[in-house]
Amino acid sequence: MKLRMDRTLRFWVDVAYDDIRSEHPNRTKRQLIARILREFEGCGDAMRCLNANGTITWKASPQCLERLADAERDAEDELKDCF
Amino acid sequence: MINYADMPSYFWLVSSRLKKPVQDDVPYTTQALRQDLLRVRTAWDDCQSNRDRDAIYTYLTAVFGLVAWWVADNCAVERARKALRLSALRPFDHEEPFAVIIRGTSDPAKVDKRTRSKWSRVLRYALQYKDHSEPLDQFIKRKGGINRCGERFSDRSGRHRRMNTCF
Repeated sequence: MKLRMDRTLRFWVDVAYDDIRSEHPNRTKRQLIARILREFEGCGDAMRCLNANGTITWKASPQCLERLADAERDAEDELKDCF
Repeated sequence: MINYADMPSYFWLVSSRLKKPVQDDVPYTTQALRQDLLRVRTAWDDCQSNRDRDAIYTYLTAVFGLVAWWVADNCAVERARKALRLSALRPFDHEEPFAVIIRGTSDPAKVDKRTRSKWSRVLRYALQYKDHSEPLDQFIKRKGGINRCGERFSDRSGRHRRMNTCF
């Protein structure tokens, strides 16, 4: 079954996958993504929910989205300071 | 003929519209359960610090979202039991998952047994009749509000009729 996830989470899962794939050449992409999701869920950055079709999907948690928004604001502030 | 009104309270969990288990292969760890409970508690705190009369829907949506996917995963009863253990709460007889999560994540001084029961009935009603694409607050309001949804669930499960007979 395909691991469905929202766009934000997909982006960060792909980043994590690119980081670890070379360390685990014998694992399939699906196994590594499952492991990443398990870790993200355990630290509160990812969560499961039902989508509009009643299927279980993954999404970035409110905590994760808040942290990303903070980081984006900080980056914008730093950029303003540069000019 | 089966008398559905006399079935155990968790009957609806295994007879919901979600007949097929839709599991993926990522195990649901204890740490993940802790994070989910923490999120629902945060939703409770947020709704308590908000004076908006609709703030309670934030909390109910968090409870509903968690239990709904547990039900879809066919693990609601066992996960609710585990949530009780993690929250160091004593199990009650015939307590169903929505009531367990409400008891474990809200303030018992503000949510008494009656309110907990009402909210739990509302959420069970939504689980049975709400379209997955409709937000919980819209569904409840469309059906006449929290109290009316609680009554609707009682009517449909037969409890209301039996209580009337008793009186």
